[in-house]
Amino acid sequence: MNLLFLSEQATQGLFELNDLWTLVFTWINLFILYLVMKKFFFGKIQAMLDKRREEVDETYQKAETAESEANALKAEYDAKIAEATETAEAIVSNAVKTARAKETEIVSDARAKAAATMASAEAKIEIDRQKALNEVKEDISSMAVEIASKVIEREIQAQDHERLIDEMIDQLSKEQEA
Amino acid sequence: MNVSVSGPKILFEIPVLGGIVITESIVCQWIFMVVIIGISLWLVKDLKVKNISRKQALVEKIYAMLSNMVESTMGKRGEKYKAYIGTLFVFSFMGSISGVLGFRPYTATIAVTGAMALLTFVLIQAASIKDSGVKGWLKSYAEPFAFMLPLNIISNAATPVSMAARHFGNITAGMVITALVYGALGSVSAALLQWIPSTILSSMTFLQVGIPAVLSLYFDWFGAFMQAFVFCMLTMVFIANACANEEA
Repeated sequence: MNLLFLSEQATQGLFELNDLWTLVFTWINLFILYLVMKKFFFGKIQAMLDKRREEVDETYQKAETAESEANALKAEYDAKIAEATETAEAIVSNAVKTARAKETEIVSDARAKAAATMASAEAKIEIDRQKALNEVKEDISSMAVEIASKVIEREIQAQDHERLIDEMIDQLSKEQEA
Repeated sequence: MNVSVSGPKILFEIPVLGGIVITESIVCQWIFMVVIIGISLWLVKDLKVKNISRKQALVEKIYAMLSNMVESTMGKRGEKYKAYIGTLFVFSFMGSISGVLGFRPYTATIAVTGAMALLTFVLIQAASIKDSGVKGWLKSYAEPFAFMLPLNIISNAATPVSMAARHFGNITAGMVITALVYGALGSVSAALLQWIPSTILSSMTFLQVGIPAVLSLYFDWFGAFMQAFVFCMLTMVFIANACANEEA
């Protein structure tokens, strides 16, 4: 068993050239390994983590923006809804007013019409009554004339007689009415 | 019984500068550098921000552990040392664990752990200079009293020496003990089986199966992890202590 930390073929000594080369090469190797690992391993992971952090921050920012936007929209909508409710109330009350007015109008119209119809009906009845009366008068006078002519057997001036009888009937009817 | 534990073999020599000697330790480092870089590249292949794979979850977990460790020891300034500490840990751990795969662990060479410890020493001094300037750094050697100068120099120099020796000693001791136990188990099973006439059966050293694996669990896996951890921890603590002025 030779000295453990010396190269096998080296002469026995505490530290010599062979070990110096090992030392130097270890430095070189470690340095290269460090550079490669830094660039291709740790650097990549760190870059990914940084990117993730950025994305998370971005997402949070977006969410906050979206929230504030939503709040603004909500306020806007609330205002709009309040406005709409007011308008709707106004419309309804207007409609009710209009409807009341119309109602009154229709009712008064109907009353007027009814009154008019009533009046015209009464007038018509009066006319009819008058007509019927006149017919009756005519019939009676012509019958009377006929009867008289038959009784007297003589032609009288029919028109004169008719007038006379009419006057009589008028008198009679006036008396009756009175 | 013939147990031999040797230093790293010289594999070849580059005939410049009076012969650059390449030992087993260096070639092992090259092999494991390739392995480490290969695994690392595979691990960070297509990292995603969302919908991460299991592999990425593992990578992130490891990275978070490293970050936690570095930041809890060094504070904010640990950020720029993270990659170095991680590299150092993997380099040390792989070096020690390579014994499991039949390599001679390169951390069982004092020149290797010495190189690592010297790097730590340089980093400590650099951190101190960066923190308090050249003047302050020089002055720190004469604190709290001027006559403490030699003691301070010794204590500063002792840091890399102790770190190198600790790491080297632990791994080498593990290697030696494993070899000794392995050899002993071979001798015991040979003694137990010597009455069997068949040379094939009597040369079956059955005790060498399984029992060394238990030792390996401690010396290779636990020891390798502990030494890598301790080395990194000390590096971080010393660097953090060197910059006392800077707000952590």
